[in-house]
Amino acid sequence: MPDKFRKTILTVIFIGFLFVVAWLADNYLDEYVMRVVRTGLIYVIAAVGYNLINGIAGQFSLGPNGFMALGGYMVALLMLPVEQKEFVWFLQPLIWPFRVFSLTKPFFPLAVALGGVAGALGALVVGVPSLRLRGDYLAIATFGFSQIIIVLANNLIPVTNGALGIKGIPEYANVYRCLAWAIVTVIITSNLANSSYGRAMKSVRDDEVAAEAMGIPIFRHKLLAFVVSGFFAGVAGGLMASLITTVSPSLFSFSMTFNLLIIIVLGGLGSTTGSAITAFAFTLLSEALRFVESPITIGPIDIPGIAGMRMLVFSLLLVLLMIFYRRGLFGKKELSWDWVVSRFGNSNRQGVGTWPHKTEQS
Amino acid sequence: MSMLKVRDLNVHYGGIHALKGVSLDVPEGAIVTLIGANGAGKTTTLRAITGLAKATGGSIEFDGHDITSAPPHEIVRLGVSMAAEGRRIFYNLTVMENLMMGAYHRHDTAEVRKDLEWVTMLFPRLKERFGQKGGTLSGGEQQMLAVGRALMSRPKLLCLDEPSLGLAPMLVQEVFRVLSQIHDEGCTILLVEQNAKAALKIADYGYVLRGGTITMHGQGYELLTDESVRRAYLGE
Ligand SMILES: Nc1ncnc2c1ncn2[C@@H]1O[C@H](COP(=O)(O)OP(=O)(O)OP(=O)(O)O)[C@@H](O)[C@H]1O
Ligand SMILES: [Mg+2]
Repeated sequence: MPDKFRKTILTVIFIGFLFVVAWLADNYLDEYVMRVVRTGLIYVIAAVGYNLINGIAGQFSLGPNGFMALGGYMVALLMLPVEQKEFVWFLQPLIWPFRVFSLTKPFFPLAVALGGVAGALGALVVGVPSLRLRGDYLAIATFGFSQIIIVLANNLIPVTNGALGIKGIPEYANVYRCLAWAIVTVIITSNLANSSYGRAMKSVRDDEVAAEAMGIPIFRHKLLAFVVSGFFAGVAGGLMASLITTVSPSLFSFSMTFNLLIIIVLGGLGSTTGSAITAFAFTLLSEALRFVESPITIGPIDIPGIAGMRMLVFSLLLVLLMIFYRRGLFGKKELSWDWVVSRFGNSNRQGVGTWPHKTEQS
Repeated sequence: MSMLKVRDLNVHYGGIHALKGVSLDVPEGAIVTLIGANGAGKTTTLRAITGLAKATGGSIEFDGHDITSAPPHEIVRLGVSMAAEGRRIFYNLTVMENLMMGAYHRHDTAEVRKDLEWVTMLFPRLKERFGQKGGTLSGGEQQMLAVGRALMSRPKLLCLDEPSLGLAPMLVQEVFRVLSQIHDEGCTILLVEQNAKAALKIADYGYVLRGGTITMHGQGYELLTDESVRRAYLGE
């Protein structure tokens, strides 16, 4: 087994490798593919954060689209140039102070982080009353909250410009920034999951009463998981806003949460690496499946394009996966250096462990 | 000196009046047992002591502190721990992590490590299964893990709720052997048991709970030889 230091070195090398791949992709792949890749990275952030509350802490939240909306609008309000703001809010003026300033490109990471803060604050507001209660109150409260956010986004015109949305957000979410945020998300989340806080979260998930009897302050741990999860949802929403250059209420509809739920269940609830890999694969696959919605001609047969076919194919895949991999692709396991080394590094240790190797994490 | 003093304890679950004025004492260094039929309120008494159930009347004092309405994590900190009814271990954590959760509030890492060794000496089987997920242990092993986990907080008072439930006779003996060993090392024990005979045998003092009130109490051997106790709880 590699020790901690060697693992850190391996991780650093791996991150460097990812950036090299990102650079190659950026230079050799076309704009359309790179958009999909960036979207995939943003989904990684959202899914890994969502998995923290649903999979690791075991609290069923239905709120990520609401928290993503908070982050998205925050970044839009901070980054949109002042002239563009005057142009967008032509019916009613934008509220002060956003009306009079905007951040320049070097401050984009700050804007995204503040988007995360907006998501975290949203999570705090929903979490404090609902996480004290046992049972699925969080699901109801978060669902209600994200609906309220969408209603506000539609009606709070001096802040959100209503259903028309906000257009012309500078496109600063390039592949390097998206990758950097995704890496930060994965590293922070997996370190948290492996800390004593993370173990406490998992014990709350496994048996809340027993955890309480052990003297674990369960409310505090649930709230911590939820607020961190809200932060990453806000970050993902913020990057999304800058990638698409537009935010509108429909961008953050409930189907976003639904997609994320599919991703984390497919990946294996509780597995950070599983969520990350599945999120990326899911995004690529859902783009690749676009062809099933376009008109297809097979010999003499013309099949007209059917909108929504993708979801049908997805649902079918989901059913199949749930039949054959009931606990998701990764279960609660993690892809880790221990596994890589035991699999490839040391020939006399072959056969140690099934795929993916069970590690100390769970 | 009483380590734990329970006076006129009342607990309600909604409309159900589960404890109707329970009073009991656990002297330092003693093994005290609480016996009674199903639904008598034994688990509820332990839950109230450990802060998991809210007392609606009366008082609970531990080590000179009033813990009647203290939250569970403060009570654990003061030195009370419980191995709850029905094992309740963390299925997706390893045996080792389960044990470490018992020491959650402790920061004396070196001492925790020693206690980890101590617990695995008490239950050698746990050591063989250190890296295994809790949920994959057998029922008996899970029971040992639950007791071991409760010990990891190095409690002054250990509350055990039916630690021998569902165990084969051999393992029951094993658990009781460990209990007397823990007791010899200075731990005070409040033991709830269906297996009243075995419990009264190792207990210094016993309480009989019925319908939410204490109907009888006395030295372990007194209760063991009492005619009505024998008929009602020992099945003789
Ligand atoms: N959460 C609850 N809600 C409502 N009533 C409860 C609850 N827990 C226990 N009770 C009731 O309180 C009474 C005492 O229950 P308790 O679990 O303390 O009994 P017990 O002596 O431990 O029984 P057993 O030997 O079967 O474990 C019972 O009548 C039970 O139905
Ligand atoms: Mg009971």
